[in-house]
Amino acid sequence: MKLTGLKGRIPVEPLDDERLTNIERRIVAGAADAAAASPRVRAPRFGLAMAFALTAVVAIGAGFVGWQLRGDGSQTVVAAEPVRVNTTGDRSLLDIGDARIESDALTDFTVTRPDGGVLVTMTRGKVELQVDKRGNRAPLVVAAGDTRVTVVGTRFSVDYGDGTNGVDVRVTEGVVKVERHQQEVRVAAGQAWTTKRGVIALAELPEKPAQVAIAKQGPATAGAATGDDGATIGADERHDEQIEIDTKTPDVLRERTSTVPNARIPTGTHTGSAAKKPTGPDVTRQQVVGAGSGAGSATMDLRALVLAQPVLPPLSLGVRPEESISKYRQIVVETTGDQASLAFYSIAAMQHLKLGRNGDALQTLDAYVRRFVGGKEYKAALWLRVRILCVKTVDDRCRQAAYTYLHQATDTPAARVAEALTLAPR
Amino acid sequence: MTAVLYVEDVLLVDRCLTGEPAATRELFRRHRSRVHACLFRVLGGNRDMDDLLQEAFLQVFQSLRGWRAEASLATWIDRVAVRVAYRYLSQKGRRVQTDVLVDDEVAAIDTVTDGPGARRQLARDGVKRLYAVLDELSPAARLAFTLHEIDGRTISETAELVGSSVTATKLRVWRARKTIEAAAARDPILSEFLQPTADVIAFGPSGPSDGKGAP
Repeated sequence: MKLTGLKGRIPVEPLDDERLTNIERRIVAGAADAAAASPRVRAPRFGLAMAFALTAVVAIGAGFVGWQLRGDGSQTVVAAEPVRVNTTGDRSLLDIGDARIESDALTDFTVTRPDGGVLVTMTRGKVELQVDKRGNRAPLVVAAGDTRVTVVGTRFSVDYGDGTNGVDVRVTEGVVKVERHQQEVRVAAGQAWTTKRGVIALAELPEKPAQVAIAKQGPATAGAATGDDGATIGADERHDEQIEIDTKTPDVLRERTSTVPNARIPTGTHTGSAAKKPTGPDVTRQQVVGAGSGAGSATMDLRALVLAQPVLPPLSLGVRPEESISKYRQIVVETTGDQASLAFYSIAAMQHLKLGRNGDALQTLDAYVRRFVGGKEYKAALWLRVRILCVKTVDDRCRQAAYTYLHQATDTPAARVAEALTLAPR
Repeated sequence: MTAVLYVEDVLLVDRCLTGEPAATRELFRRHRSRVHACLFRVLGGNRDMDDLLQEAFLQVFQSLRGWRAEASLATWIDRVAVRVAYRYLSQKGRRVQTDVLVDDEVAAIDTVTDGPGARRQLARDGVKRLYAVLDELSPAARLAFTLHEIDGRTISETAELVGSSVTATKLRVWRARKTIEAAAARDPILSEFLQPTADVIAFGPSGPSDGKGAP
């Protein structure tokens, strides 16, 4: 069945007067509190001004007391002595004044305050932090093994598993800086960083149970991360598994990842062969491995995914590309049906793959799509358009092409890549 | 939005910011029906509705200073309400606590197979099943779908409310629609309810309502 016209068909159950009056009363009281707590636009009445002044005096007094009781230059609850948290049962919450640290069960970490900053040293488990803006104060740092996550004021989590595997950092607000092996990378809201994959879009990471399952796959997965040949298929499979349509932190609550300059992202563990611009059939493989090795940005990962998808090759005629195109044209003119469809598609594929004439290829593909709706190469043509438009940058044209492809070819493996492209942050 | 309404909004907000209770009350009364209808359509009838409506308006008043009068006040308030709904949906393991409808017990013994009774029963069951399917969607997809398909907002309005791109919103709506269509294929009651020609009668005790009027 086709779903249409739900508008106006879900009756809204009205609230009765008594409930509304109660709500209104509470809101008016709450709004008065809110107004009293914030500075005013107009000159307040004398009584309210007095209340405000009193509040200010109390706040200043509290600030003074806090300053006197501070550790090393920061207003905190935690003194200079280290605080150790070792959760065994449920989650726990530690409020240290300028940050709130929530920890999962079986998490072990210590909080200290060296040089006015905050250092959270993890032994195992997972912590989620909500950190107030630190201004001029020394940063808050989470150390998990050889990885250090430095915070300016944000909301994020650091998962160190059982303390022996890699680290998983997920940022939902603000920006954090991750340092490992003298390399530094900034991870922004909507992004994640893992020891194995580097910076990736948060959407690409599975929920925790799925991640554990992957970690338990053993040598094959580890091989995929390090980029050896036998593991390339494992890397592809992993990408397939991890692309999700709806991120757990949707746009309504996060900043755009585009605010993070890609230039700051180091090249990571690329090998010498990856530095050289690859050509030929191995391009796809090398770039996927590069993305999987944790070196690139979310955009790079998407590019790698796009390149990893197979493209239907042009009809082979055994002659030079230009001559092939002439022959394809001839076939298009002289034949109809499947043969004409393949020849027409081959023109575009040849223009893109062999001649690098992407503008011409796009025009040809547009013509193909108009002329051969539902043709045998229709889906391949739509994907070729996605590949051409998305391989350099994920912009609106790329998203539109991906969206069109997704609608026409929901059942193909590339549809999941198209979904990821469609949802890629601007 | 007319210039008169705009000026009225600005003046009303200004009065609210001074903490004037009458202004607070007036703003609440002007917008409560729309916000309630929006929350209801997104979340379905549920036991937390009073708290959610209250929470939405408290947040409106707490951040009223942040309204820059660039968007209409109504849109801005709706955006706050959508965020409240999103947070509610994203709480771990959350299932919307659907209200037990007042006449459910009567309906259970009502074996009428035709006429208004049967149609009311269909509406009630259909809505229940629809929201059960919506419970399976991600909060973002649910918001996009309900705001667009049920609350009747355009895709661009929906995108603005949820803070996503138009394309992403379209995709979420499309995927949610597919999920619901798949569920309807398995569930004849939901399927019948979703038929465009299905006659729907409100299930509330106080008769038909579309939530547009003053409650």
